[in-house]
Amino acid sequence: MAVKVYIPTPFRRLTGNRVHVEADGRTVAEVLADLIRRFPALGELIFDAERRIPAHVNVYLNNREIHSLDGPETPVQDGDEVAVIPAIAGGMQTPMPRSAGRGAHTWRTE
Amino acid sequence: MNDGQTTQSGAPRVLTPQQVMRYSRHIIMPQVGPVGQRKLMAAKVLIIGAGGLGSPIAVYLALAGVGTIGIVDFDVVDLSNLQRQILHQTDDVGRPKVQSAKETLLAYNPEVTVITHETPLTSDNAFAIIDQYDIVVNGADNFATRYLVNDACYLRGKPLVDGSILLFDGQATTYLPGKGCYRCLFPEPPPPGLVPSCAEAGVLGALCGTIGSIQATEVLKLILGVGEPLVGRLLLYDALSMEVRIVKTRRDPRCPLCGDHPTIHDLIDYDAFCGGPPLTTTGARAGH
Repeated sequence: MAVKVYIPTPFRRLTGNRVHVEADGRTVAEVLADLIRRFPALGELIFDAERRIPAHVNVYLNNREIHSLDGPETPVQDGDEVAVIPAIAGGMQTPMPRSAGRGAHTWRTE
Repeated sequence: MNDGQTTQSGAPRVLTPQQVMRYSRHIIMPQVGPVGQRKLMAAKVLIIGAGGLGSPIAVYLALAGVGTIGIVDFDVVDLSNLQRQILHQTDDVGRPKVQSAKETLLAYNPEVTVITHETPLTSDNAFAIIDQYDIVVNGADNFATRYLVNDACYLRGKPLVDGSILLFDGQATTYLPGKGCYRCLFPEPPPPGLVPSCAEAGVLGALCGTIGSIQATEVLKLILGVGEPLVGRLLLYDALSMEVRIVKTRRDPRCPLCGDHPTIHDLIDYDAFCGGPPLTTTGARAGH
């Protein structure tokens, strides 16, 4: 399934400043996995060291948070939209992965 | 105390001709009217932070005649604040923000009462401050204060109008006790090290006006009892793509604060929870 993924401005420069990017998958988890295959640096921001979605990041499918659906295993349809939204508190620099390595769960300032 | 000019709730019994004129563009709307205006004049609203969000929130509430406006902030005005914090002007650099804020608001509308709390908001003083108000508006610039305000408002049964900004993104929502809270939305803050200091931040100044104005609108709606507040909904504003989306939020039955089996019954150590420096230095500072 081809899904449109919305990238908020704190993550956007990791997608070449694209607001929406395409990703494929049958479930939200597969879509996110495909997303970070295309944009590996995003992986450190939308997954924790155990490759789970951290508690300060919410994933929405068609504007519904996935835990109110079937979680990461929620099926997606062609044309659906996934949005990955972090908690923000002001005073936060654009998060950047410390390395391109898998699982490094630290953002650094510029 | 009742001076005969006000009702027991503190609302004025009769608007003066000057008040009718000043608030005429509100009063003429049936959703407000003279009754609504008196509600606004009797309302007590606390604003956390006199910074980027707190500025437009405070200005619009004062202009609307919200009778009592409290402001918590312990910072002083910095030159770098003036790109977005419209409560403060160039001559205010170096002055306590709450002083500058009070002067600005009273210049806009001398009829309102501005109460300044020149202190960091902490677990020790949060209840005592929040208890003085009907509604709390959040313009804090750090996660520790956000969780503190959330918990304090829930535990004291106060509506919380929340807003946050970063770069070109803004978020706004309203929490009514029992209908979900910040912990339901974001159970944990980002790990330590994720959030640099405010001085390193970037945020579009005009974004503060957008989100702060939405927060002020929410407060006015709550006071007036009109419209549909952003309860159970999170507004996401993207200034770069100029997209606004509203996602659904919900009370999480597993929430440690407002869930079915809560484990948080009092304020906690929010510095430890957020893994940051002591709240005495990161408390309700500046607010964005």
